[in-house]
Amino acid sequence: MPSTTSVAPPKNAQEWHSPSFRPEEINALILGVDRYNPSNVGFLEEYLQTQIENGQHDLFANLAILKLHQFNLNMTNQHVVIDILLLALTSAPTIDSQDFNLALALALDRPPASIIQANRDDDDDEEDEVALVVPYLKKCWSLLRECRFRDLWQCWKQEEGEGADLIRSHYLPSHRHATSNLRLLIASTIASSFSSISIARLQRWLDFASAEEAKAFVEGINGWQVSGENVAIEGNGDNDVKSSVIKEHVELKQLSKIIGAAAV
Amino acid sequence: MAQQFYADATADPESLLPETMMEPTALEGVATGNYTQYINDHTAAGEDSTHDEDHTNDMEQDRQQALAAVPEDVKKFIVAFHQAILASDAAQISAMYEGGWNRLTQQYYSETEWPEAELLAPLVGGDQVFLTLYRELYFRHVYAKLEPNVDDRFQSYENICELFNLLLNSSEPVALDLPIQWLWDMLDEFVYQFQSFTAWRADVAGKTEEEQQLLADNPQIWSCYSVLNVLYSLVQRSAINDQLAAEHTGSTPEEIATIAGPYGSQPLYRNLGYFSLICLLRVHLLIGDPTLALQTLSQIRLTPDALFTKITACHVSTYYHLGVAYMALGRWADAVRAYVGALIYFNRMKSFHTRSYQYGSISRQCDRMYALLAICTTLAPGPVDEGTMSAMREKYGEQLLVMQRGGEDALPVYRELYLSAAPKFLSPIAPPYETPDLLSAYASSNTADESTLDPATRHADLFLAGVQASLSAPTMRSFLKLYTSIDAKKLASFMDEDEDDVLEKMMNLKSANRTYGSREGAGGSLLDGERMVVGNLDFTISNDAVSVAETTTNKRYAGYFIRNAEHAQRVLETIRAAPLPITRPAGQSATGTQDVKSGAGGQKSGAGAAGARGAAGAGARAAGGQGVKAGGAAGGRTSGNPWAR
Repeated sequence: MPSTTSVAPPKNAQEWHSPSFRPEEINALILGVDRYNPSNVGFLEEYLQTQIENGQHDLFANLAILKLHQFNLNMTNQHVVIDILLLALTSAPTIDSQDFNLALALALDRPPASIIQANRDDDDDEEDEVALVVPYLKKCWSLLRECRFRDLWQCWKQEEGEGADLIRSHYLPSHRHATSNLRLLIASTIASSFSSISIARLQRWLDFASAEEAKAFVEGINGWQVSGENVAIEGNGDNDVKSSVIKEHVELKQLSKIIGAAAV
Repeated sequence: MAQQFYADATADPESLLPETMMEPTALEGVATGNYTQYINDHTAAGEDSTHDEDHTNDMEQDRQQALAAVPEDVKKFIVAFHQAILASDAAQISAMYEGGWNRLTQQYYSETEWPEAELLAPLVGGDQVFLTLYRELYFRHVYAKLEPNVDDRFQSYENICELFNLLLNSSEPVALDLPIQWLWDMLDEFVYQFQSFTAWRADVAGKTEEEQQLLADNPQIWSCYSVLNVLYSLVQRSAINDQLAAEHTGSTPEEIATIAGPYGSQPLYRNLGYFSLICLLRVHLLIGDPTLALQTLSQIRLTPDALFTKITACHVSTYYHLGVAYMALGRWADAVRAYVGALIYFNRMKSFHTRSYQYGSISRQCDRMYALLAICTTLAPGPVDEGTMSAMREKYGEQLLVMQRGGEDALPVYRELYLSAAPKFLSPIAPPYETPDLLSAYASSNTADESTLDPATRHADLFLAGVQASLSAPTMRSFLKLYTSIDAKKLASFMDEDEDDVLEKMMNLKSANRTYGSREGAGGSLLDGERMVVGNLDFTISNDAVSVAETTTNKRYAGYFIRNAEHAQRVLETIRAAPLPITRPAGQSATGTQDVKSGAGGQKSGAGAAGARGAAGAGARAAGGQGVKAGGAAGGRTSGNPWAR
């Protein structure tokens, strides 16, 4: 992890709707009507793989893939769908971002499994993996959103069931950044509330095996500092709020009529 | 269909450009062909059958008889309507469109269809453009007042496509100018009929075999692709996005006209393009893509003078759908602003609209906004226009209380409100009518499987999954309200929970207290947003010590004084502009002592208030005679007095 990593909720939505790493061609594609052209799906899927490799997340480009699936049933590729959902779960900008829900809304708009089977070109008897993993991913998302981080890690690592197994055995190996991105997401949630936190607690919430690991993580983060048994987190606008009084501001513009009348 | 659609497109990347991609003719050719053929095969009297001379003659006679049966009023109306459109007489068209049509509907067609367009053709010299416009009104009436059958649904689609084909594929811009109200209604109806058709198609159980066959043979009718195709083609043809972008950068009208091109510079095309953007917002939202919906409006600024605000129905609908899209993104503050703006506007306008035939549906949409506003203000408490809030409490006070308490009990209330107030979401995926084996499987697969849920339930479930995480926030908030600082251990013992659990709930409250929202007047994309605080309670935690920071808002006085000072000013101006009481000369009026006195006063005192009043009276409209003369004289003498102006 580079030492310049800073964790705090982003100040605006710019990186969310138009990430700086998005290539120009992709940008033109998803902003125009070409996004409906099924022959572009490969292009977008390649970009999805790049995101997964680099631990990046471009929700809007991925929603364009799901849109193509929604309109062209025979194109549905469940591996791609699960990749997108997993990425939206682990790499959203904040825990209250609706990325996962937005992707799910499109991903679940599909005919019943029996019909997908009949439509599929290849005749191998694949299972409906989307149906298997969605309940598991939804559970993880809900734990994350409720900030039940200890339960989340438990669920992430030890949950039993076909869906969880599938994610762990087939998807996490290629999503190399999933776990570390999830950790950063939680860290930024912590940074939003805490100006100082004990290492023991951090270790529990970020799922580190030892205090040393937790310390090593802290040292890699900009503006976080170990001091004794605690970690000091620098102010980010969220963790350094003060009581305030909002006074009324009167703009000159509002008074223009009155002043105008008086000037006559 | 999509594959066919793109078959040659893939070979030649250039042809992916919208104009070629969105070629309604190619689509329609197939559509109309199949359908007409089907009709001819299955009905005795195919309307275009020319193989039988006698038969044609019979039909001609039938038509003439039917035309004779059309009330004289209606015939006159049609002829005059046609003339007004030919002459581009805007005032007349508006009057007939908004008044005449509805009056005649009430009088003659409250329970039946208007006469078929073919019957009326002789009255308008067979003008195809007019007849297509007429059919559009005809079907709109069927949808609004009667129960559309499968033929109506198919034909209204073909008709509207024909109309848009006429407009889009002509060699030069069609010289037609229609009131913006009509253009909006037309596109709004187009989306409504799509919505209605898609919902109807999704219900497999209620279909007759004939209907199933028709749906199987014509998958492109009202398909999502073809609806988007029409809307995007209108957007492209009018170059509306480029036009709006140029307007925002302050280009001159000449520059904009160049950008707009021969089509886009015509009001008809420009307005259709603009309203198509608004309709795209709605279509994208309905098929479950709120981000794309907001992206579509990237060039539209939500200013009070924007075109969409000129039509009440459009104004309200835009903000309603915008609000729903923002809610799906969890951007409560933006949703609240959209709803409140539209509701204030509607309450101001409603006295002018009660008689409009659209009033009912607009007012229902506003009720839905109040319900959604109740949800949003619970999730993101903050200062909201008092009048709107109290109107909302009146309607949804009970639900509001339950939601504000939070906890699991609130969930059913959220669901009920959301289901009643959210738009009717759609799935673009049609049941497999073309494969009867699968169809029966489809119809019977109503299990708990998520993919078979109807779109409304699916979206409500997703929305509630988003809400669920914030259910513990109200409890936490009310605890924190009691302290300025507290130790986490103490808080944990009060709440009878583990310290880590409590701190986790605090972080949950923190994330419920933050949202992204656009700053007022910031311009830019509707997706832009800055991190902001909602509610007035915030906190920070240092190790175990929680310090609570409350933001208090001083009472606002300035607005009140400004409003009242301006009001006083207006009253004063009204008084000044009003004529004096009529003064009559002494000789003409025996009972006018009072008047005579004041008239005399004006003459005698000359300067001062009385004289000034005389001047004001004269300036406005006084009643002849001495009064005027006196006033005029007084005014002349007191010309330095501001009152005399």
